[in-house]
Amino acid sequence: MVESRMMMDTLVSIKAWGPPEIAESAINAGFQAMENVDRMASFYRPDSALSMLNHDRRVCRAGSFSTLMENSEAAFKATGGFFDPTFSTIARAWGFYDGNGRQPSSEELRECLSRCGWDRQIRFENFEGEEVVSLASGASIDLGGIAGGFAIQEAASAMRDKGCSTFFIDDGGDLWMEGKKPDGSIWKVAVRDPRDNGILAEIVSAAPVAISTSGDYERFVMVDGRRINHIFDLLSGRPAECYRSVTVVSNTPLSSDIWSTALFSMDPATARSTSVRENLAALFLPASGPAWISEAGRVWFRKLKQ
Amino acid sequence: MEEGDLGRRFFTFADGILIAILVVIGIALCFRESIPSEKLNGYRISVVGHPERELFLINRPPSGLVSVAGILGNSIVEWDAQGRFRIASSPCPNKLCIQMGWVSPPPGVCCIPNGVVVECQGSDWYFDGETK
Repeated sequence: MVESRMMMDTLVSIKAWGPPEIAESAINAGFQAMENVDRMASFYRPDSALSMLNHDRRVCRAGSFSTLMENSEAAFKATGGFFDPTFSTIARAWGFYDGNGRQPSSEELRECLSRCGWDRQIRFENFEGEEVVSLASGASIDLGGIAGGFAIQEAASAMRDKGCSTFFIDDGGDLWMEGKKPDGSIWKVAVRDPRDNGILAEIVSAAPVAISTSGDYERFVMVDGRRINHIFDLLSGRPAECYRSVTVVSNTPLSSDIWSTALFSMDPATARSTSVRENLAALFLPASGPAWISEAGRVWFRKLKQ
Repeated sequence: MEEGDLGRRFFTFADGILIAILVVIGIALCFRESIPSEKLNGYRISVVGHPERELFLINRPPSGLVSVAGILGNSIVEWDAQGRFRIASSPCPNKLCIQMGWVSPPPGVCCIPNGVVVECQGSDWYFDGETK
């Protein structure tokens, strides 16, 4: 059984196997869980917890939003700051949120950069006897680089709770699959090649696995005929331009989502050393030159096209 | 305009080769071996003479429609909820491709004058999903 819905600014598809009534209720539970994450973490919904934090500078630290914020902080630290939801002031300067791409001046970028940095802008603290998350004045956060992976985890958990053991979740290309299909076949996933829309590589797995890709081709604005992608180099405030795409295979959707974004924003030498240090299975398609696979990725990515 | 000019303008040797290739593709699609439905999960759209326009769809497109820039202009390929597909709109003169109606995969469908070919992908191309 399969169902697709538009949510979180993308097309989400969930496939489930098993008795129809269980599969149907699991799919509904999965979508509901993702909807809950969207309501909480959407940058665009004015009533989301994230919007309240961006607007009011302080929200209570409770429930799933607190978990998501804690995960974001852990991701910021684990990636050495290459994953940083405070990039949103820079994205705004480039015109991402109103869709009108523009070139910010060097002074404007410097000003934006001074308002970035999770460790400087976010505080978990006690305010008048209540545990809260506080955001520094002038800063803003966008959880788009982690909310998708978090939503998939929540959906998978909800589907398991409904008794569904075999399912496949596709959140606009961020994937999670687990269980054993009735025909016994293993999971098989194609990595899209943005250069020609063909297939860059294949991934096969019998075990539960998460796959995420960060690319320069799906979310972007045009500035003077140039395509500006949505992932930024937080040292310069300019778009990260080393890669066309970075795909990461991991054992959790959160981890694959975070690392694909973080690796995309790194220069090749840093990405290579990080993928070795963190044992990351990653496929890099550079802006120019041949695709390459990290050491740990060699067992995952097959039939690589150059 | 002289008759010879018209001949050169509307039918060259290259046109002949192109038409022959398209006819062979059309016949091959008609006699293509069946792909078990549980192994069918992808489509390849190509335009003869334009390899850069090749497009792979792992699943039915969300909108159910894909516009393909062919030799004469844009053809619209349409899918229904059952996975059947057809050429819904084409700039070709006789619209034979449109008259073929809905095609249950396999084999495929093509518009010869416009050079547009839609093929189902079999087990070698079977994927549970794609990341992009």
